[in-house]
Amino acid sequence: MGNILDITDLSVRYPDGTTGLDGVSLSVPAGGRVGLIGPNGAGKTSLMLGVMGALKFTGQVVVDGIALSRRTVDEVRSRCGMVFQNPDDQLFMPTLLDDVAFGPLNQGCTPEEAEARSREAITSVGLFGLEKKAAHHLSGGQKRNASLATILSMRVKLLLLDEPGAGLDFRSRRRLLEILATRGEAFLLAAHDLGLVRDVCTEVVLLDDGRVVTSGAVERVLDDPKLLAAHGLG
Amino acid sequence: MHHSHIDRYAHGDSSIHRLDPRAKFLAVIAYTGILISFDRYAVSALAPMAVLPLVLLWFGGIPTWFVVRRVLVLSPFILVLCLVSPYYDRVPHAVSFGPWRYEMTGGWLTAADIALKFALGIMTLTALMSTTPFAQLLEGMRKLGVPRMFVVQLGFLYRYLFLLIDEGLRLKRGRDFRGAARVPVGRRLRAVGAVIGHLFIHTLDRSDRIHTAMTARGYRGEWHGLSTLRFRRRDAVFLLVTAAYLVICRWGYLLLH
Repeated sequence: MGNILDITDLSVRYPDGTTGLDGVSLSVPAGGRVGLIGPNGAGKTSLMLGVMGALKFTGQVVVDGIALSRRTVDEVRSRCGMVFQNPDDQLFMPTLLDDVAFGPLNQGCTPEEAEARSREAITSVGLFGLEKKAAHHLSGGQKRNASLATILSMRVKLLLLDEPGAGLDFRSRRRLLEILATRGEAFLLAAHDLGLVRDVCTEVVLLDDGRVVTSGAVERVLDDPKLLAAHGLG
Repeated sequence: MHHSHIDRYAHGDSSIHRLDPRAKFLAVIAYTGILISFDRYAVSALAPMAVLPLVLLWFGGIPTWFVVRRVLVLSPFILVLCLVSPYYDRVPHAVSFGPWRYEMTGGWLTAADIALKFALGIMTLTALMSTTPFAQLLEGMRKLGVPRMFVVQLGFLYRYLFLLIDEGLRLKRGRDFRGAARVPVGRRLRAVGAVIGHLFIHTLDRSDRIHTAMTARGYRGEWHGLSTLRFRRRDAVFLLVTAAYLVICRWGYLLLH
C-alpha cells in the first residue's frame, strides 16, 4: 500500500516573519495512524493547515497522489478533512445536522444523500437524537464529537485531528478512543496527551521549533523519557 | 456560563410551533407593516392589533413573564423617545374613549402611540422567535427569497452572539476577580474599553478561523442547505385568517371614522 500523505521539505513562514515550519518531511501510509507530538508552538497546527492549503508554503504536499497547489486545493480538500482545535470554530451552522451536512453538500451531494451521510456520521460519534440541536446547546465533549462528525460525513481518506482530546473528561475521552479505534481512515493526530497517542497511533512524529526531531514506532519515541523531557513533553 | 437564549421556547410542540416558519414570518412582516401605518394620533385604533400577538403567545404557551421581560429590557431605547415627544408637539387634541372625553396634547398622544406600537411589535417578534427554531426561520427566509448573504449573516450572528456574550462575561469576571470594582470610575471605564477591544480582536481572529474551517470543508462562496420545510393547508389558512384580521383592523377603523 502507498502513502495517503507525503510531505517533503515543507516550510511555512507567517506574515510577521515567524517560522511555522522549517523543512518538514513526513508521510502517512494509507490507513496509517500517526501521532504528531511536540510542545506549544512546535508547528503541529501549522503543518495541518499547510496540508489543507490554508497557509502559504514552500515544499511539496501530496495527498492521495495529488500534489497540492492552488489548482488542486479543492480536490485535496475532498480527500482530507481537518478537525480544528476549538470546536466553536468548526461548528458554525444553526443546527448539528446542517453543520455535518455542510461538507457533503459542498462536495456536490444531493440534499438527500448529504442528509443520509450526516445522520450516519452523527450516529457513529454517539450524537444520535441531537441532530436539531444548536452548537451552543451541546456540551464540550459533544462539540468535539460533532466536529469529528463534520469531517466523517465527507468520507475523506485522511483525517487531520488537531488536539481532539483537549479538555475532555474521562468518559468523553474513552468515547473518542472508541470512535478512532473503529475508523478505517488514515489519520494524523496532533496531541499533547501522550496517552491518547499511545492508545490510538502506531507511529509518532516529534516536532519542535518547526522541525522534525525524530519519528518512528510509538513505543520507541514515547518510551524515551530523556527525549521527551528535552522537548517539553516529559 | 448562563444567559437566556433568544429562542428559549422555540422547540415546543404547540399548534403555533407546528406552523410553517414562512407563514409565521410573512404574517409578522404584514402585521408590522400595518402596525406602523396607523396614524400617530389614532392610539385607540391600535387596541384590536393586540389580538394577534396575544393569540400567538397564548397558543404557543409562552410565559407572560418572559414576554414582559423582553419588552422591559428593550424599553429604555423607546422611553427616551416617549419622554421627549410631549415637548415637541403641544397642539391639543380631543380624545374619546367610550363615554369618556379628554383633551390631550399631540405630544402625549405620540408618546402613547410609540409605546404601544413598540410593545405590540416586540410581543409579535417574541411570539415569532419563541415558536420557531432559528434554523427553521432562516431556512424559511431563504425559501422566501430573502438575500442569501443576509440570511447567512443572520445565521452567524445567532451562532456566535452567545460565544461573544460568554467571552465578554469571562473577561468581565477575570477583571472583577482582580478587584476592578474597587478602583476609581475613570480606571474602570478604561478597563471596559480594553474588554471591548479584546472582544473585537477575538472576533476578528475567530472570523478568520471560521473562514478557514469553511473553506477546508469545500466552501467556495456558494451556500447549500438541507430543506425540511413543508407548506401545508393549515399554513395557508393561518395566512388567510391573519390577512383578513389585518384588513379589518386597518380599514375597519377607517370605515368607522
